[in-house]
Amino acid sequence: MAIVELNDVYKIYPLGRTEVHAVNGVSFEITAGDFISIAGPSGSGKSTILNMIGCIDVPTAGTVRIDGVDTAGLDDREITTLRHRTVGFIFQSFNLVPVLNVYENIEFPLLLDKETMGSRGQRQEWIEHLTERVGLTEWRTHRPSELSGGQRQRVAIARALATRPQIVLADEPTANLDSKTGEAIIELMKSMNHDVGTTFIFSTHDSSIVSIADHVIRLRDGEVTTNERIAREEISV
Amino acid sequence: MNPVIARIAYRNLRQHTSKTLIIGVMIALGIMVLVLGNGVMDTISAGIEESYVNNYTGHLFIAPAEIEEPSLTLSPELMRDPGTLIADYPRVREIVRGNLGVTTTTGQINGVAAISWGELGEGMSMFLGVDPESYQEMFPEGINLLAGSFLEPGEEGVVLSATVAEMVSAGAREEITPGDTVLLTAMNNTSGVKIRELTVRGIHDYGDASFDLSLVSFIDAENLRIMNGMTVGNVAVGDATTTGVTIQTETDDTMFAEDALFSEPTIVEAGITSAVNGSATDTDRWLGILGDLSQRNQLRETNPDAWSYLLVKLEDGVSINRTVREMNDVFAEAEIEVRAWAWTDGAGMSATLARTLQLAFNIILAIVAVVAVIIIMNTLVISVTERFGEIGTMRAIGARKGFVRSMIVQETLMITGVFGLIGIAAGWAVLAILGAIGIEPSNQFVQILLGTGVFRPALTLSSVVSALSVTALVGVVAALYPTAVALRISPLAAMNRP
Repeated sequence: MAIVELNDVYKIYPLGRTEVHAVNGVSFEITAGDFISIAGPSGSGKSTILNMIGCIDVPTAGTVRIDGVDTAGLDDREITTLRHRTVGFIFQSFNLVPVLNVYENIEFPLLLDKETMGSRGQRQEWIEHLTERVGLTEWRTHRPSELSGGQRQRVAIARALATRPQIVLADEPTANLDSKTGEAIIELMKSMNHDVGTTFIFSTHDSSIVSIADHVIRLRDGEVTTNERIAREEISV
Repeated sequence: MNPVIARIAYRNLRQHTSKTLIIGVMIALGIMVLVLGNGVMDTISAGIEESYVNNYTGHLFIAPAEIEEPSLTLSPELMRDPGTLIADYPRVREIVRGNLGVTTTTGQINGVAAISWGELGEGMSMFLGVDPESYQEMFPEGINLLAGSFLEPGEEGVVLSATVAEMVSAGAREEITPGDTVLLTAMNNTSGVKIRELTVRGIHDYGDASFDLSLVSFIDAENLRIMNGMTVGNVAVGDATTTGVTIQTETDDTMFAEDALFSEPTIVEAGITSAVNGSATDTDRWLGILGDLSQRNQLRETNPDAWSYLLVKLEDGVSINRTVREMNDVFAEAEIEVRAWAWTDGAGMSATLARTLQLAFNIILAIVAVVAVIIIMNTLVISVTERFGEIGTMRAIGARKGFVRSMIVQETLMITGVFGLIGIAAGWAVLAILGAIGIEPSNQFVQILLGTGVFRPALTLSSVVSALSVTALVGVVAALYPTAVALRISPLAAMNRP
């Protein structure tokens, strides 16, 4: 079942008197539960496509459907709710709330909506599970400024999964990490994908980590060059 | 309320200590000045109110409708035309006394006269013509006698203010005392020039009263009516011609004609003197008139219901403004040409000065508040701008606009609330110190404002309420623009975070 559908999507930015065509007629589908890599060099349109899938940007033309919902006709409140319940974000720069500690950062998305808030006990159990899963139990009371880059990205992964979203989007999650830590983060994401069944979509220009994905979409100059599914049995976790 | 919002707001303020302190100190200082200023102004107002209501004005007063700038010392209209009086006084008094909240009333006539004593003693005084009995009933502690006695019912004479007595004594190089006789000269459009010879019954002092009150002396109502032209003769000018005596309004020629000014006897009612058949040099005619005192007495007869004002005291707790409104409605309905005023409208220089200063203080306060709002707003906008990525991230992961709005507003209210309370506490502390040591006015201007005793400002509930209101207002207004900026932040900003 397709959790994400892009159909002839264009994204054009005005730049003075000219236009920048960031995305040019891209179409693809993503199956629920997949671990997808959107690969390509800088400026190929990876982040723009992720932004449109994450409902934080809208296409100039074409349609983007998330879990069957066309994002074009939604108002701010509806699209925020869709984002909150359906999509989790992992950012290149981690983007943690600096004044909240590890536990509070992971808890934060749950507190944004009564639907996801649950009881204090339920919340605590789930967050402690996520904290343990990303290996930060001992660091749960530390602020982001007291953590390493890899640890911060682990917090971001746990936060992205807090609301049990169907999709987690990761925009170059290893870009600010050394290669060893980057690999560990991708391994963790893959492991969480395997355990929780959430669809992970990550962008990267690092060919060495693309191979871990079971579906790779390659971009160049805003167009899809290859859209390739890799058989699950070939992937080592 | 979402607990995470308050947590983030609080920690953000702690995180940015220097910005928080800059804004906080400004707020605390502003609120402290506000509490101090309001405390001082409230103490002045309360002191003036207590002093005026209990000693000089009562809670409200009734004045002739033609008086638009009333003053219980002397209004411009009464200065021009002291004969202006309350129409249908008995009916007005009956209506006023019929009001349930009214406890006492008394009439008052206002006038001005020059005083001369002996050859060199000269001075000027404002005079209140009163009914001694009802006046003392209304203001039992209002008369502070330094010498002699107050006027007895039906007694003629004056009770000079200490300031006026000093003025006259200084010229005469001899201290004026009760029992001495002074000449009062009143000159106005209503009665022309009137000279009265009256005995000084006492000398009083208004103590802590203001400068304008220090020039107020008392006189029996009858003599002031004559000087103001509130006589039957003056009212019945047209009828007087039938008696063979021509009464006319004074002109400069008749008033200052050589014969009129220097003729004998010197102690006369100049209004009549110069008016009789246009000549004062005919001794026979003069003696003839003076020989037949019945005509003069008829003209001198005063109107016992002629009063400039009716002063009214109310029971404790009765609203002055509401009573004034109610009375004015009744007067309008009864088509009586009078108007009720609150005591503040007639309290003269001190109350006006206090009100002006209060207004000036409020204007300064408004300017300070606007400056504070601008500075707080700018600092918050900078703070919001620095957190574009953070707020964008919150929006991206599901925070609605309401969440962002609450976060900014709570940050602002938290900082204004905490430092506002610190400001109130600091203001209270300074007021407590000033109240304990007291302020002794060092010059006349300050004396007029604060009274001549030791001034002890105190914290009042209204100043605290006002300070809290301003704090909340500054907080909310200062948060508006930063909130608007924050709400414009797109979730896309999360992607641009360094």
